[in-house]
Amino acid sequence: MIEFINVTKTYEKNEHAALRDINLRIEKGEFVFLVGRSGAGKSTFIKLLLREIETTSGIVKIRDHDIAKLTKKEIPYLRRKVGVVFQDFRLLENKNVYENVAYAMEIIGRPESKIRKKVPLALEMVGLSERMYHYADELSGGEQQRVVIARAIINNPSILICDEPTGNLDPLTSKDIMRILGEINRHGTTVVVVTHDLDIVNVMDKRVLTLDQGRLSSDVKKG
Amino acid sequence: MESEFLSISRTMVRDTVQSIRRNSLMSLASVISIIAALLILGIFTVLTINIQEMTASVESQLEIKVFLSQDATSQQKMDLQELLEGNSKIESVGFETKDEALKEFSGTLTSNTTLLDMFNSDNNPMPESFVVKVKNADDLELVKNEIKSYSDKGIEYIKFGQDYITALLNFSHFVDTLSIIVLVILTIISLLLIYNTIRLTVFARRKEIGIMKYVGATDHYIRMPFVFEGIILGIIAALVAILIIRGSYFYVLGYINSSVLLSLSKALASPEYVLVRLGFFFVFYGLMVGAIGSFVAIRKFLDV
Repeated sequence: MIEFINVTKTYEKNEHAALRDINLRIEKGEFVFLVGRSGAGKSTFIKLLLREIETTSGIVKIRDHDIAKLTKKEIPYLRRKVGVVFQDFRLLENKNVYENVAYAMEIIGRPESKIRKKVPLALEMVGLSERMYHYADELSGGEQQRVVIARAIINNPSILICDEPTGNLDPLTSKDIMRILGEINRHGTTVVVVTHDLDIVNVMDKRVLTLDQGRLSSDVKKG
Repeated sequence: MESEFLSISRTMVRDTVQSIRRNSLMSLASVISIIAALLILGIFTVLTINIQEMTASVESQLEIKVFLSQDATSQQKMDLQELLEGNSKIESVGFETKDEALKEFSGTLTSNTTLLDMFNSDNNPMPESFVVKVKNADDLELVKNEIKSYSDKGIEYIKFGQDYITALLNFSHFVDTLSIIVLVILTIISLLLIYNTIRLTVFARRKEIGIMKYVGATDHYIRMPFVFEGIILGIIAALVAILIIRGSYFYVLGYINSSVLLSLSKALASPEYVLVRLGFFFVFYGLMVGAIGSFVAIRKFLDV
């Protein structure tokens, strides 16, 4: 599903490579943690997957396609296959929960009838059916994060990338979020969770990739 | 596919209306500024249209008179006529006989017409002439010089339009050039105004744009509402400017008609004519300025 072949990324401003000679493979339907300290290259990893940036050398493949070969016009279609959950939620304050999730379908041109059918299902999956017509500022952090997850999966991405999904949440809420991500994974979506929160890593008992100063320092099958 | 298009269109219209409403003050400011720019442009355009009208009516009367000497042979006359008719810059060639020339001359005299009674066809002093109409007033001088070169065809002398015609033509060219300069300057100003407004809108919605990018909206889709917004602002400004100009032109025309400048008003364009010519131009102008200004404003935010 995801493959990095000899990937190195160096930023112009910095002589140290953000990622150095990374080789890894994540299979379809896997649940993987990517851990490491700040500056270890985690953000670079995510940006490469979304083709926000390009590799300095090496190849990034998603579903066996070298994403460097995508034209600028094809990038949006890559992103429809790769859902993203951010640490800082990024919800639209002037829209309610339903509208925030529906928005992701609207902007890729899904018909209204499908939107009306699918959004409640996604909200049910993250346990927010009751809060459908509340606005973002009326929700707790955990609830907001669940809206973001619903938005990220509404278009059936084959990969879900979560950037510090529990970074702003208390341990109990974090566990709840991880349970939802596990649930999504069981439905067949490949899930990559980028985090430095070792508690959730230990709870989940999944494959763990560790980045250290831009190198892949370990790849452990079970956390 | 159709439902996808409908769904996208509906979302876009909603977003555009929302955005204009949310930035209503800024939108209003830029619409007013563009109206101001268009008004200045409109004054120049009205001026240009009228000068064009005037020169057109004068141009249609422009003619060169080629007077023949009394002893020109009929062979010379035929040759000359052939040469004139063969000239591609010449619209038409007429011939004025001695009698006609005398009649026309007496028509210009208001008194002393009895003076002319002493002349008849035998002692008529008026010369025969070819009356040449030129296709383009700018070619007058050129055609005159060409005719001059036919000096062996019994030409006595050549006469053409008065000085005021040349002056009018020069002024017309001057106003044309000035209008283009004003057009360019005001276009740049209008573009910057729209650009600025849309950039603020884009900035206010940058978070939304970021989300759109991550969810996989195409650049085209993200750009369209902003371009729409610019176009709508541009067209609103254009329509208001047209109404103002039409109204004031009507008023000014009324003033001219009722005053000493009466003789001038016949040559002036009607308000309806101005409205039509200006209308299409302004709406197109507003549309283009709005579209281009927004397009440039959004471009840099799309690189996520």
